[in-house]
Amino acid sequence: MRPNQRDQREITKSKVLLVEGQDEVNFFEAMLRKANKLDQVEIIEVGGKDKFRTEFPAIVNMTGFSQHVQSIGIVRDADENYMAAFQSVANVVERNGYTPPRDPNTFNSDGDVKVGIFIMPGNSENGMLEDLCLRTQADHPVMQCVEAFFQCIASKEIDQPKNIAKAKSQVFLAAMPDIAKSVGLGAKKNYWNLDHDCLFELKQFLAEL
Amino acid sequence: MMIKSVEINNFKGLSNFHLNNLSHINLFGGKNNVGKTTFLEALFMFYDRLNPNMILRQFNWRGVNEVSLTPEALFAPIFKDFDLSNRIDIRIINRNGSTESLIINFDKNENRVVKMESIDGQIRTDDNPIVALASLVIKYRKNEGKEQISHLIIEQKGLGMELKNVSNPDKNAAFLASKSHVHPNENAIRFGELDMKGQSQPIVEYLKVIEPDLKGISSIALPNGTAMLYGDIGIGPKIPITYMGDGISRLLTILLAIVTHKNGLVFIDEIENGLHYSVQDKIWEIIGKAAKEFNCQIFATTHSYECLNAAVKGLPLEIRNDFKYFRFEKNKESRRVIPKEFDYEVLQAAVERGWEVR
Repeated sequence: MRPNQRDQREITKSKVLLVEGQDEVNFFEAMLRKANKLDQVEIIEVGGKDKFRTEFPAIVNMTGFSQHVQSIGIVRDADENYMAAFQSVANVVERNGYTPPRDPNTFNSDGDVKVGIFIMPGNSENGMLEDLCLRTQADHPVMQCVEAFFQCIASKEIDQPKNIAKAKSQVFLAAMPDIAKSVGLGAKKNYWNLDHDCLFELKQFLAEL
Repeated sequence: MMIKSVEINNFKGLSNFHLNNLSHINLFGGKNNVGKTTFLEALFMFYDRLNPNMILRQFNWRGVNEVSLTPEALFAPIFKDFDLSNRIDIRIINRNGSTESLIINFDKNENRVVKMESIDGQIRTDDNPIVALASLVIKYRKNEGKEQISHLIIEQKGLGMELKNVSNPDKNAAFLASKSHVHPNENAIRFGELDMKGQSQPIVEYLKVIEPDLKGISSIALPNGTAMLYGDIGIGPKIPITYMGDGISRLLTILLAIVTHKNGLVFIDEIENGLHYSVQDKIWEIIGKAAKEFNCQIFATTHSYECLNAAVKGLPLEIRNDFKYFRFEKNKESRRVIPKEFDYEVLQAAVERGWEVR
């Protein structure tokens, strides 16, 4: 077979959701399936926040985009700085001729294509998807074990986990009946409580998409 | 002085067409019939405007070799909707800010003297002398300069160009059509001309990227009066270039066009034609370097995903900022052709992720 001789991906749906990586694709597939909206939304991973600058223009110039797409939602982690994350995405959107929303977690309906930006975990906080997932199970009995485990770890003179939210979510998932290696796969196995109130803002955002 | 922007109105299927941000090396993609070749033809015609064959050769590139000498058959196909009452308008903005425009319209009532010849000495009643009065009026203007007017006239024996107070185009252009095959004889003649001027060595150096054993090329006259290129690959006798592997003749044709159009323009329709996918990365490396070395602006079309992939892989680092890919897309409602612009990094992102951008 010739190199790269494969079917190229075309956009065929009217709503596009851009997310950071494959695990986010899994998570949002679970969310949208629950909302009965999965067949209306094309979820595209941009391969990391650093790639957004080059991948956003590639996506909006992709075959099928101008023909089909009416709204586009972009989701990225706040990491250390919620507003900086929002501003960085908004700048890329604007540079490519689209109008970003004025505030995070909302849409702008000016222009032919509606554009929304959601910064994880929402609620104007710093952090990431894993923080939000953990919050959905804050009352789960296993969470006490998870907390105890990390208290135990903290008392040891070892290199501590760099990303606590990621580490905690993995420990939580490790306590589940079947293996789920990441939060997105955990969502597909219903290990996160997708009905929890803390997802309200995100659900609103997806409903508006 | 490279072309930066182009506007086209009423030329074949392109109307209200705007293309900005052209680069040194430009690749055009899009679905069949969207207007990629038409765009190249429009731009080439702009620089071919003093050539009586400026329209006939477009038929030839598309595989039409016989056309009757009537305005409907000859002229109408270049006008939008085949309508001779339309006015073709092509405008160019160059990087240095200078603007050039070309306006073409059909005039069937030109008041000019046409010399009618009797071909066989007989009086015939089936000749239609009115035809001889039909012409295309071609008006060119640069910046605020004086309008230069020429006429492309249908005459009894063919097409004639009437030129008065016109100056040659600022840039030379070459058009490599997708349908025309490589002409070994033509390549040999052009290479021979370069060789005589002592300018053939760069071509040999570029071809070495594909054929490292190549030491030199000679244009050899054959007993039948034609010429052919032979390569020395260090095995004793020289062998015909055409035997030397995939695509080398096609690459040679492209290189000859670039080298002989220094500071000019080269148009390549369906650049992947005749090039095996396995050599396409290297072809892009060579085209990129040659285009820069000879300051030649490249306009190429492609249908092929492999070609896009090869451009991403093959273009050398120092040339990537001088590359643009444009995907032509026809708007369903307005029928306008809209170019979608990709710089190197954006095309790379799309190709690496397997997103359809043709």
